[in-house]
Amino acid sequence: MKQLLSKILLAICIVAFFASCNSSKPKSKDKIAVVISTLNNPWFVVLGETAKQRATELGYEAVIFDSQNNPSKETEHFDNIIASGYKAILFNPTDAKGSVVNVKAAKKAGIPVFCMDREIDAKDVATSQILSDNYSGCVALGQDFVKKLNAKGSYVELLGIVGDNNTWNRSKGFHSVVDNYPNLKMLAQQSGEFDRNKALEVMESMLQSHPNIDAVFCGNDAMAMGAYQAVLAAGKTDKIKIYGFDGAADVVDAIKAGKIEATGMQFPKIMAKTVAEYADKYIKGEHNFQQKVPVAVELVTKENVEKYAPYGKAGK
Amino acid sequence: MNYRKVLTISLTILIGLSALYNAIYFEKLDARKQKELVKKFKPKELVDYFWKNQLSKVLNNAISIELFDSLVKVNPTALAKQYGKTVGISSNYCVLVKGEVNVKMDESGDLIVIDKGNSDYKIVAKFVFSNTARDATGYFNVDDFQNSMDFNAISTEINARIVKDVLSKLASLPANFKVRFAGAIEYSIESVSKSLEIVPLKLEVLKSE
Repeated sequence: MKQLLSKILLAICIVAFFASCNSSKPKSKDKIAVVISTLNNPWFVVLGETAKQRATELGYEAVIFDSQNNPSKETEHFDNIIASGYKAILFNPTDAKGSVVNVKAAKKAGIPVFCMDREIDAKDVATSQILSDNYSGCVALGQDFVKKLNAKGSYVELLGIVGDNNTWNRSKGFHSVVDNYPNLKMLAQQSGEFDRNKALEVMESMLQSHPNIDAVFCGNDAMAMGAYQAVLAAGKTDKIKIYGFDGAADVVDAIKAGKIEATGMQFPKIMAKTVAEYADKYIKGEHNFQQKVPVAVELVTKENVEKYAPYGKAGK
Repeated sequence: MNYRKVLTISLTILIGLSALYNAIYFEKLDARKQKELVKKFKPKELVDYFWKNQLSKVLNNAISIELFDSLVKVNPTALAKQYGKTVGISSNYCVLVKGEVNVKMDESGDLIVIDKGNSDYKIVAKFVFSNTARDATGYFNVDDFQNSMDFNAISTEINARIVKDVLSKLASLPANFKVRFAGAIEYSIESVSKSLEIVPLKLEVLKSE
Protein backbone atom coordinates (compact mmCIF):
# COMPACT_ATOMS: atom_id res chain seq x y z
CA MET A 1 0.00 0.00 0.00
CA LYS A 2 2.83 2.33 1.01
CA GLN A 3 4.62 1.48 -2.22
CA LEU A 4 1.49 2.22 -4.27
CA LEU A 5 1.06 5.60 -2.57
CA SER A 6 4.71 6.47 -3.27
CA LYS A 7 4.24 5.60 -6.94
CA ILE A 8 1.09 7.75 -7.18
CA LEU A 9 2.91 10.69 -5.53
CA LEU A 10 5.85 10.26 -7.90
CA ALA A 11 3.48 10.23 -10.89
CA ILE A 12 1.80 13.44 -9.65
CA CYS A 13 5.20 15.10 -9.22
CA ILE A 14 6.24 14.11 -12.78
CA VAL A 15 2.95 15.42 -14.25
CA ALA A 16 3.28 18.66 -12.26
CA PHE A 17 6.85 19.11 -13.47
CA PHE A 18 5.92 18.72 -17.14
CA ALA A 19 2.84 20.91 -16.69
CA SER A 20 5.03 23.70 -15.31
CA CYS A 21 7.40 23.28 -18.29
CA ASN A 22 4.48 23.77 -20.71
CA SER A 23 3.00 26.68 -18.82
CA SER A 24 1.74 29.34 -21.25
CA LYS A 25 3.08 32.16 -19.07
CA PRO A 26 6.51 33.36 -20.18
CA LYS A 27 9.33 33.24 -17.65
CA SER A 28 9.87 36.62 -16.02
CA LYS A 29 13.38 36.86 -17.46
CA ASP A 30 12.27 36.39 -21.10
CA LYS A 31 13.21 39.49 -23.07
CA ILE A 32 11.94 40.86 -26.39
CA ALA A 33 13.91 43.46 -28.36
CA VAL A 34 12.11 46.20 -30.29
CA VAL A 35 14.51 47.59 -32.92
CA ILE A 36 13.22 50.76 -34.59
CA SER A 37 14.75 52.46 -37.66
CA THR A 38 14.52 55.93 -36.09
CA LEU A 39 12.87 57.54 -33.10
CA ASN A 40 13.30 60.96 -34.70
CA ASN A 41 9.83 60.62 -36.25
CA PRO A 42 6.73 60.48 -34.02
CA TRP A 43 5.18 57.78 -36.21
CA PHE A 44 7.99 55.35 -35.40
CA VAL A 45 7.83 56.30 -31.73
CA VAL A 46 4.18 55.15 -31.74
CA LEU A 47 5.20 51.94 -33.55
CA GLY A 48 7.99 51.16 -31.06
CA GLU A 49 6.12 52.12 -27.91
CA THR A 50 3.03 50.12 -28.92
CA ALA A 51 5.15 47.02 -29.64
CA LYS A 52 6.90 47.42 -26.29
CA GLN A 53 3.63 47.95 -24.44
CA ARG A 54 1.98 44.88 -25.99
CA ALA A 55 5.05 42.69 -25.30
CA THR A 56 5.04 43.93 -21.68
CA GLU A 57 1.32 43.14 -21.37
CA LEU A 58 2.11 39.63 -22.57
CA GLY A 59 4.61 39.24 -19.71
CA TYR A 60 7.96 40.02 -21.32
CA GLU A 61 10.68 42.51 -20.55
CA ALA A 62 10.74 44.65 -23.69
CA VAL A 63 13.59 47.00 -24.62
CA ILE A 64 13.58 49.55 -27.48
CA PHE A 65 16.72 50.06 -29.62
CA ASP A 66 16.97 53.15 -31.87
CA SER A 67 18.93 52.53 -35.10
CA GLN A 68 18.92 56.26 -35.95
CA ASN A 69 18.37 55.36 -39.63
CA ASN A 70 21.93 53.99 -39.61
CA PRO A 71 22.46 50.39 -40.81
CA SER A 72 25.77 50.10 -38.86
CA LYS A 73 24.01 51.12 -35.66
CA GLU A 74 21.35 48.51 -36.42
CA THR A 75 24.02 45.80 -36.82
CA GLU A 76 25.52 46.79 -33.45
CA HIS A 77 22.08 46.42 -31.86
CA PHE A 78 21.63 42.96 -33.38
CA ASP A 79 25.07 41.87 -32.12
CA ASN A 80 24.14 42.97 -28.60
CA ILE A 81 20.68 41.41 -28.77
CA ILE A 82 22.06 38.06 -29.95
CA ALA A 83 24.73 38.09 -27.21
CA SER A 84 22.19 39.04 -24.53
CA GLY A 85 19.82 36.09 -24.97
CA TYR A 86 16.70 37.86 -26.22
CA LYS A 87 13.84 35.52 -27.17
CA ALA A 88 12.51 37.51 -30.16
CA ILE A 89 13.09 40.69 -32.15
CA LEU A 90 10.30 43.03 -33.27
CA PHE A 91 12.04 44.78 -36.10
CA ASN A 92 11.56 47.95 -38.13
CA PRO A 93 14.50 47.81 -40.61
CA THR A 94 16.60 50.70 -41.87
CA ASP A 95 17.23 49.19 -45.32
CA ALA A 96 15.35 46.54 -47.32
CA LYS A 97 18.53 44.91 -48.60
CA GLY A 98 21.13 45.97 -46.01
CA SER A 99 19.11 44.70 -43.05
CA VAL A 100 18.83 41.15 -44.41
CA VAL A 101 22.25 40.21 -43.02
CA ASN A 102 21.16 41.19 -39.49
CA VAL A 103 18.00 39.12 -39.70
CA LYS A 104 20.03 36.16 -41.00
CA ALA A 105 22.43 36.47 -38.03
CA ALA A 106 19.51 36.45 -35.59
CA LYS A 107 17.95 33.46 -37.35
CA LYS A 108 21.26 31.59 -37.17
CA ALA A 109 21.32 32.29 -33.43
CA GLY A 110 17.79 30.86 -33.13
CA ILE A 111 16.09 34.22 -32.49
CA PRO A 112 12.91 34.81 -34.52
CA VAL A 113 12.56 38.22 -36.19
CA PHE A 114 9.18 39.80 -36.91
CA CYS A 115 9.36 42.81 -39.25
CA MET A 116 6.87 45.62 -38.87
CA ASP A 117 6.00 48.37 -41.34
CA ARG A 118 9.27 48.18 -43.31
CA GLU A 119 10.16 45.13 -45.34
CA ILE A 120 13.38 43.20 -45.83
CA ASP A 121 14.09 42.06 -49.35
CA ALA A 122 14.21 38.31 -48.64
CA LYS A 123 11.89 35.34 -48.27
CA ASP A 124 12.03 32.84 -45.44
CA VAL A 125 14.52 34.80 -43.35
CA ALA A 126 12.22 36.79 -41.09
CA THR A 127 9.59 34.67 -39.34
CA SER A 128 6.88 37.05 -40.55
CA GLN A 129 6.56 40.58 -41.93
CA ILE A 130 3.56 42.76 -41.12
CA LEU A 131 3.53 45.58 -43.66
CA SER A 132 1.27 48.40 -44.74
CA ASP A 133 -0.25 47.92 -48.18
CA ASN A 134 1.56 51.03 -49.40
CA TYR A 135 0.81 50.45 -53.08
CA SER A 136 -2.98 50.29 -52.67
CA GLY A 137 -2.90 53.22 -50.24
CA CYS A 138 -1.10 55.36 -52.80
CA VAL A 139 -3.43 54.25 -55.60
CA ALA A 140 -6.26 55.78 -53.53
CA LEU A 141 -4.19 58.93 -52.92
CA GLY A 142 -3.39 59.11 -56.65
CA GLN A 143 -7.08 58.92 -57.54
CA ASP A 144 -7.90 61.73 -55.11
CA PHE A 145 -4.95 63.74 -56.47
CA VAL A 146 -6.27 63.44 -60.05
CA LYS A 147 -9.80 64.36 -58.94
CA LYS A 148 -8.76 67.42 -56.90
CA LEU A 149 -6.49 68.71 -59.68
CA ASN A 150 -9.11 68.02 -62.37
CA ALA A 151 -6.52 65.82 -64.11
CA LYS A 152 -4.31 68.77 -65.04
CA GLY A 153 -1.44 70.78 -63.59
CA SER A 154 2.19 70.56 -62.50
CA TYR A 155 3.46 68.72 -59.47
CA VAL A 156 6.60 67.61 -57.65
CA GLU A 157 7.29 64.47 -55.66
CA LEU A 158 9.27 64.04 -52.45
CA LEU A 159 10.48 60.45 -52.22
CA GLY A 160 11.44 58.67 -49.00
CA ILE A 161 14.70 56.82 -48.34
CA VAL A 162 15.86 55.41 -51.67
CA GLY A 163 16.89 52.02 -50.20
CA ASP A 164 13.52 51.41 -48.58
CA ASN A 165 10.89 49.34 -50.42
CA ASN A 166 8.11 51.48 -48.91
CA THR A 167 9.47 54.47 -50.85
CA TRP A 168 9.01 52.70 -54.18
CA ASN A 169 5.74 50.92 -53.37
CA ARG A 170 4.25 54.32 -52.51
CA SER A 171 5.70 56.09 -55.54
CA LYS A 172 4.68 53.28 -57.91
CA GLY A 173 1.14 53.11 -56.51
CA PHE A 174 0.78 56.87 -56.99
CA HIS A 175 2.25 56.86 -60.50
CA SER A 176 0.14 53.84 -61.55
CA VAL A 177 -2.74 56.33 -61.45
CA VAL A 178 -1.41 59.80 -62.28
CA ASP A 179 0.78 58.72 -65.20
CA ASN A 180 -2.39 57.88 -67.14
CA TYR A 181 -3.26 61.59 -67.31
CA PRO A 182 -1.02 63.41 -69.80
CA ASN A 183 -2.04 66.84 -68.56
CA LEU A 184 -0.53 66.12 -65.16
CA LYS A 185 3.13 66.96 -65.44
CA MET A 186 5.80 66.02 -62.89
CA LEU A 187 8.37 68.86 -62.71
CA ALA A 188 10.78 67.26 -60.24
CA GLN A 189 11.24 64.17 -58.09
CA GLN A 190 13.76 64.15 -55.24
CA SER A 191 14.38 62.31 -51.98
CA GLY A 192 13.47 64.02 -48.74
CA GLU A 193 14.66 60.90 -46.88
CA PHE A 194 11.39 60.63 -44.91
CA ASP A 195 12.70 63.59 -42.86
CA ARG A 196 10.87 66.83 -42.12
CA ASN A 197 13.90 69.12 -42.18
CA LYS A 198 15.34 67.55 -45.31
CA ALA A 199 11.93 67.86 -47.02
CA LEU A 200 11.72 71.54 -46.05
CA GLU A 201 15.12 72.13 -47.61
CA VAL A 202 14.29 70.19 -50.82
CA MET A 203 10.88 71.84 -51.20
CA GLU A 204 12.38 75.34 -50.78
CA SER A 205 14.77 74.57 -53.59
CA MET A 206 11.98 73.12 -55.78
CA LEU A 207 9.83 76.21 -55.22
CA GLN A 208 12.68 78.42 -56.40
CA SER A 209 13.30 76.31 -59.52
CA HIS A 210 9.61 75.79 -60.37
CA PRO A 211 7.37 78.73 -59.50
CA ASN A 212 4.28 77.08 -61.07
CA ILE A 213 3.81 74.05 -58.79
CA ASP A 214 0.16 73.06 -58.20
CA ALA A 215 0.71 70.09 -55.89
CA VAL A 216 3.29 68.04 -54.04
CA PHE A 217 3.09 64.32 -53.35
CA CYS A 218 5.16 63.31 -50.30
CA GLY A 219 6.12 59.74 -49.37
CA ASN A 220 5.34 60.34 -45.69
CA ASP A 221 3.69 62.81 -43.35
CA ALA A 222 6.92 64.17 -41.86
CA MET A 223 7.93 65.29 -45.36
CA ALA A 224 4.41 66.65 -45.97
CA MET A 225 4.80 68.87 -42.89
CA GLY A 226 8.27 69.96 -44.09
CA ALA A 227 6.81 70.74 -47.52
CA TYR A 228 3.96 72.68 -45.88
CA GLN A 229 6.47 74.85 -43.97
CA ALA A 230 8.26 75.68 -47.23
CA VAL A 231 4.97 76.43 -49.03
CA LEU A 232 3.82 78.59 -46.10
CA ALA A 233 7.08 80.54 -46.17
CA ALA A 234 6.63 81.07 -49.92
CA GLY A 235 3.07 82.35 -49.35
CA LYS A 236 1.55 79.69 -51.63
CA THR A 237 -0.69 77.68 -49.29
CA ASP A 238 -3.79 78.63 -51.29
CA LYS A 239 -2.28 77.42 -54.56
CA ILE A 240 -0.33 74.25 -53.71
CA LYS A 241 -2.08 71.05 -52.59
CA ILE A 242 -0.01 68.83 -50.30
CA TYR A 243 -0.37 65.06 -50.01
CA GLY A 244 1.23 62.91 -47.32
CA PHE A 245 1.23 59.31 -46.14
CA ASP A 246 1.13 57.87 -42.59
CA GLY A 247 -1.75 59.38 -40.63
CA ALA A 248 0.47 61.25 -38.14
CA ALA A 249 -1.12 63.52 -35.51
CA ASP A 250 0.02 66.84 -36.99
CA VAL A 251 -1.15 65.88 -40.49
CA VAL A 252 -4.58 64.68 -39.31
CA ASP A 253 -4.95 68.10 -37.60
CA ALA A 254 -3.65 69.85 -40.74
CA ILE A 255 -6.23 68.05 -42.91
CA LYS A 256 -8.99 69.23 -40.53
CA ALA A 257 -7.61 72.78 -40.84
CA GLY A 258 -7.42 72.54 -44.64
CA LYS A 259 -3.62 72.87 -44.71
CA ILE A 260 -2.93 69.40 -46.09
CA GLU A 261 -5.15 67.82 -48.76
CA ALA A 262 -4.97 64.13 -47.85
CA THR A 263 -2.92 61.33 -46.34
CA GLY A 264 -2.91 57.54 -46.33
CA MET A 265 -3.77 56.27 -42.87
CA GLN A 266 -1.48 53.45 -41.83
CA PHE A 267 -2.21 51.54 -38.68
CA PRO A 268 1.08 51.35 -36.73
CA LYS A 269 -0.67 50.22 -33.55
CA ILE A 270 -2.23 47.23 -35.35
CA MET A 271 1.12 46.28 -36.90
CA ALA A 272 3.00 46.64 -33.60
CA LYS A 273 0.45 44.67 -31.58
CA THR A 274 0.33 41.93 -34.21
CA VAL A 275 4.12 41.39 -34.24
CA ALA A 276 4.23 41.29 -30.42
CA GLU A 277 1.45 38.68 -30.39
CA TYR A 278 3.17 36.65 -33.13
CA ALA A 279 6.41 36.68 -31.12
CA ASP A 280 4.53 35.49 -28.03
CA LYS A 281 2.95 32.65 -30.03
CA TYR A 282 6.36 31.70 -31.44
CA ILE A 283 7.96 31.59 -28.00
CA LYS A 284 5.09 29.37 -26.84
CA GLY A 285 5.73 26.89 -29.66
CA GLU A 286 3.74 27.96 -32.73
CA HIS A 287 6.09 28.25 -35.68
CA ASN A 288 3.83 28.56 -38.74
CA PHE A 289 3.17 32.14 -39.76
CA GLN A 290 2.21 33.80 -43.03
CA GLN A 291 5.46 35.28 -44.38
CA LYS A 292 3.97 38.60 -45.52
CA VAL A 293 0.88 40.14 -43.99
CA PRO A 294 -0.20 43.37 -45.71
CA VAL A 295 -2.27 45.78 -43.60
CA ALA A 296 -4.78 47.97 -45.46
CA VAL A 297 -4.15 51.72 -45.76
CA GLU A 298 -7.12 54.11 -45.88
CA LEU A 299 -7.50 57.46 -47.64
CA VAL A 300 -8.06 60.39 -45.26
CA THR A 301 -9.38 63.67 -46.68
CA LYS A 302 -11.27 66.64 -45.27
CA GLU A 303 -14.50 64.81 -46.17
CA ASN A 304 -13.87 61.80 -43.89
CA VAL A 305 -11.20 63.00 -41.42
CA GLU A 306 -13.66 62.94 -38.51
CA LYS A 307 -13.64 59.12 -38.68
CA TYR A 308 -9.92 59.10 -37.91
CA ALA A 309 -7.59 59.91 -35.05
CA PRO A 310 -3.78 60.10 -35.21
CA TYR A 311 -2.36 56.68 -36.18
CA GLY A 312 -5.74 54.99 -36.53
CA LYS A 313 -9.50 55.26 -36.41
CA ALA A 314 -11.37 57.55 -34.02
CA GLY A 315 -12.52 55.80 -30.86
CA LYS A 316 -10.28 52.75 -31.36
CA MET B 1 19.96 -17.69 -39.45
CA ASN B 2 16.94 -17.53 -41.73
CA TYR B 3 15.39 -15.07 -39.36
CA ARG B 4 18.42 -12.76 -39.63
CA LYS B 5 18.40 -13.04 -43.41
CA VAL B 6 14.70 -12.13 -43.62
CA LEU B 7 15.29 -9.19 -41.28
CA THR B 8 18.24 -7.92 -43.36
CA ILE B 9 16.28 -8.19 -46.62
CA SER B 10 13.23 -6.50 -45.05
CA LEU B 11 15.34 -3.65 -43.70
CA THR B 12 17.08 -3.21 -47.06
CA ILE B 13 13.71 -3.06 -48.86
CA LEU B 14 12.38 -0.62 -46.25
CA ILE B 15 15.40 1.68 -46.58
CA GLY B 16 15.19 1.44 -50.38
CA LEU B 17 11.49 2.30 -50.43
CA SER B 18 12.03 5.15 -48.00
CA ALA B 19 14.83 6.59 -50.19
CA LEU B 20 12.62 6.21 -53.26
CA TYR B 21 9.65 7.84 -51.52
CA ASN B 22 11.76 10.85 -50.57
CA ALA B 23 13.35 11.08 -54.01
CA ILE B 24 10.11 11.05 -55.99
CA TYR B 25 7.18 13.37 -55.54
CA PHE B 26 4.22 14.31 -57.66
CA GLU B 27 3.18 17.83 -58.47
CA LYS B 28 0.59 19.25 -60.82
CA LEU B 29 2.11 20.63 -64.01
CA ASP B 30 0.23 23.90 -63.55
CA ALA B 31 1.63 24.39 -60.07
CA ARG B 32 5.15 23.50 -61.24
CA LYS B 33 4.99 25.94 -64.15
CA GLN B 34 3.70 28.71 -61.91
CA LYS B 35 6.44 28.10 -59.32
CA GLU B 36 9.10 28.35 -62.02
CA LEU B 37 7.70 31.62 -63.34
CA VAL B 38 7.51 33.09 -59.83
CA LYS B 39 11.06 31.97 -59.11
CA LYS B 40 12.42 33.59 -62.28
CA PHE B 41 10.11 36.53 -61.58
CA LYS B 42 9.03 37.66 -64.97
CA PRO B 43 5.72 39.35 -64.09
CA LYS B 44 4.58 39.69 -67.69
CA GLU B 45 5.16 35.99 -68.44
CA LEU B 46 3.55 34.97 -65.17
CA VAL B 47 0.43 37.02 -65.94
CA ASP B 48 0.40 35.75 -69.56
CA TYR B 49 0.43 32.19 -68.24
CA PHE B 50 -2.33 32.98 -65.75
CA TRP B 51 -4.43 34.75 -68.37
CA LYS B 52 -4.19 31.93 -70.93
CA ASN B 53 -4.34 28.89 -68.68
CA GLN B 54 -5.93 29.75 -65.36
CA LEU B 55 -8.30 32.70 -65.70
CA SER B 56 -11.27 30.67 -67.02
CA LYS B 57 -10.94 28.17 -64.16
CA VAL B 58 -10.73 30.99 -61.63
CA LEU B 59 -13.80 32.72 -63.09
CA ASN B 60 -15.84 29.56 -62.57
CA ASN B 61 -15.90 30.61 -58.91
CA ALA B 62 -17.64 33.92 -59.68
CA ILE B 63 -21.07 34.41 -58.13
CA SER B 64 -23.92 36.14 -59.94
CA ILE B 65 -24.18 39.90 -59.51
CA GLU B 66 -27.76 39.37 -58.29
CA LEU B 67 -26.56 37.06 -55.49
CA PHE B 68 -23.78 39.50 -54.58
CA ASP B 69 -26.25 42.38 -54.52
CA SER B 70 -28.69 40.61 -52.24
CA LEU B 71 -25.99 39.36 -49.83
CA VAL B 72 -24.02 42.59 -49.59
CA LYS B 73 -27.15 44.48 -48.54
CA VAL B 74 -28.14 41.96 -45.87
CA ASN B 75 -24.88 40.73 -44.39
CA PRO B 76 -21.61 41.95 -45.97
CA THR B 77 -19.52 40.10 -43.37
CA ALA B 78 -21.12 36.75 -44.16
CA LEU B 79 -20.67 37.45 -47.89
CA ALA B 80 -16.96 38.17 -47.30
CA LYS B 81 -16.56 35.02 -45.23
CA GLN B 82 -18.17 32.81 -47.86
CA TYR B 83 -16.98 34.35 -51.13
CA GLY B 84 -14.51 37.13 -50.30
CA LYS B 85 -10.74 37.18 -50.42
CA THR B 86 -8.29 39.44 -48.62
CA VAL B 87 -4.52 39.21 -48.53
CA GLY B 88 -3.70 40.44 -45.03
CA ILE B 89 -5.33 42.49 -42.27
CA SER B 90 -8.11 44.53 -43.84
CA SER B 91 -11.81 45.24 -43.68
CA ASN B 92 -11.79 45.26 -47.50
CA TYR B 93 -12.72 42.05 -49.34
CA CYS B 94 -12.63 41.18 -53.03
CA VAL B 95 -15.30 39.00 -54.65
CA LEU B 96 -15.58 37.59 -58.17
CA VAL B 97 -18.95 38.31 -59.77
CA LYS B 98 -20.56 37.65 -63.15
CA GLY B 99 -23.72 38.58 -64.99
CA GLU B 100 -25.53 39.91 -68.05
CA VAL B 101 -26.55 43.52 -67.68
CA ASN B 102 -27.74 46.53 -69.61
CA VAL B 103 -25.25 49.34 -69.48
CA LYS B 104 -24.67 52.87 -70.67
CA MET B 105 -21.60 55.04 -70.97
CA ASP B 106 -20.94 57.42 -68.09
CA GLU B 107 -20.41 61.02 -69.20
CA SER B 108 -16.76 60.91 -68.04
CA GLY B 109 -16.10 57.96 -70.33
CA ASP B 110 -14.34 56.23 -67.45
CA LEU B 111 -17.20 54.07 -66.31
CA ILE B 112 -20.23 52.22 -67.51
CA VAL B 113 -23.28 52.42 -65.31
CA ILE B 114 -25.33 49.28 -65.04
CA ASP B 115 -28.97 50.08 -65.47
CA LYS B 116 -30.33 47.39 -63.18
CA GLY B 117 -33.18 48.28 -60.86
CA ASN B 118 -32.05 50.42 -57.97
CA SER B 119 -28.54 49.01 -57.91
CA ASP B 120 -25.60 51.29 -58.41
CA TYR B 121 -22.79 49.29 -59.95
CA LYS B 122 -20.22 50.59 -62.36
CA ILE B 123 -17.92 48.63 -64.62
CA VAL B 124 -14.50 50.24 -64.86
CA ALA B 125 -14.12 51.07 -68.53
CA LYS B 126 -11.10 53.29 -69.02
CA PHE B 127 -8.33 52.80 -66.45
CA VAL B 128 -7.78 49.98 -63.98
CA PHE B 129 -5.91 50.67 -60.75
CA SER B 130 -5.36 48.88 -57.43
CA ASN B 131 -4.99 45.23 -56.46
CA THR B 132 -8.68 44.34 -56.72
CA ALA B 133 -8.40 42.02 -59.75
CA ARG B 134 -5.27 40.25 -58.46
CA ASP B 135 -6.67 39.70 -54.99
CA ALA B 136 -10.15 38.61 -56.11
CA THR B 137 -8.68 35.78 -58.19
CA GLY B 138 -7.04 34.30 -55.08
CA TYR B 139 -4.48 32.78 -57.46
CA PHE B 140 -1.36 34.68 -56.38
CA ASN B 141 0.15 34.14 -52.94
CA VAL B 142 2.11 37.04 -51.45
CA ASP B 143 4.47 34.60 -49.71
CA ASP B 144 5.70 33.30 -53.09
CA PHE B 145 7.24 36.65 -53.97
CA GLN B 146 10.61 38.04 -52.89
CA ASN B 147 9.10 41.36 -51.81
CA SER B 148 5.90 43.37 -51.97
CA MET B 149 7.11 45.35 -55.00
CA ASP B 150 7.22 42.11 -57.00
CA PHE B 151 3.75 41.20 -55.74
CA ASN B 152 2.45 44.62 -56.77
CA ALA B 153 4.07 44.23 -60.20
CA ILE B 154 1.58 41.39 -60.75
CA SER B 155 -1.28 43.85 -60.26
CA THR B 156 0.30 46.28 -62.69
CA GLU B 157 0.53 43.53 -65.34
CA ILE B 158 -3.00 42.21 -64.74
CA ASN B 159 -4.42 45.73 -64.90
CA ALA B 160 -2.54 46.41 -68.14
CA ARG B 161 -3.86 43.14 -69.56
CA ILE B 162 -7.42 44.13 -68.66
CA VAL B 163 -7.04 47.45 -70.46
CA LYS B 164 -5.53 45.75 -73.52
CA ASP B 165 -7.73 42.66 -73.82
CA VAL B 166 -11.00 43.58 -72.15
CA LEU B 167 -11.60 47.32 -72.22
CA SER B 168 -10.44 47.72 -75.82
CA LYS B 169 -13.70 46.00 -76.83
CA LEU B 170 -15.62 48.99 -75.57
CA ALA B 171 -14.44 51.46 -78.21
CA SER B 172 -17.02 52.90 -80.62
CA LEU B 173 -20.17 51.56 -79.01
CA PRO B 174 -23.66 53.10 -78.93
CA ALA B 175 -25.02 54.86 -75.87
CA ASN B 176 -26.81 51.82 -74.46
CA PHE B 177 -25.93 48.16 -74.81
CA LYS B 178 -25.87 44.81 -73.05
CA VAL B 179 -22.78 42.96 -71.80
CA ARG B 180 -21.95 39.58 -70.35
CA PHE B 181 -19.11 39.99 -67.87
CA ALA B 182 -17.08 38.43 -65.09
CA GLY B 183 -15.02 40.64 -62.82
CA ALA B 184 -13.91 41.68 -59.36
CA ILE B 185 -15.58 43.89 -56.76
CA GLU B 186 -13.83 45.26 -53.68
CA TYR B 187 -15.89 46.46 -50.72
CA SER B 188 -15.44 47.24 -47.04
CA ILE B 189 -17.39 45.17 -44.53
CA GLU B 190 -17.32 48.19 -42.17
CA SER B 191 -19.12 50.50 -44.58
CA VAL B 192 -20.37 49.30 -47.96
CA SER B 193 -20.13 52.08 -50.52
CA LYS B 194 -23.34 53.04 -52.33
CA SER B 195 -21.48 52.93 -55.62
CA LEU B 196 -19.45 49.75 -56.20
CA GLU B 197 -16.94 49.35 -59.01
CA ILE B 198 -16.52 46.15 -61.01
CA VAL B 199 -13.10 45.52 -62.53
CA PRO B 200 -13.88 43.35 -65.58
CA LEU B 201 -11.69 40.31 -66.23
CA LYS B 202 -13.87 39.10 -69.10
CA LEU B 203 -16.41 41.07 -71.08
CA GLU B 204 -18.56 40.37 -74.11
CA VAL B 205 -20.75 42.96 -75.80
CA LEU B 206 -24.04 41.19 -76.57
CA LYS B 207 -26.21 43.75 -78.36
CA SER B 208 -27.29 47.34 -78.59
CA GLU B 209 -30.49 48.17 -76.77
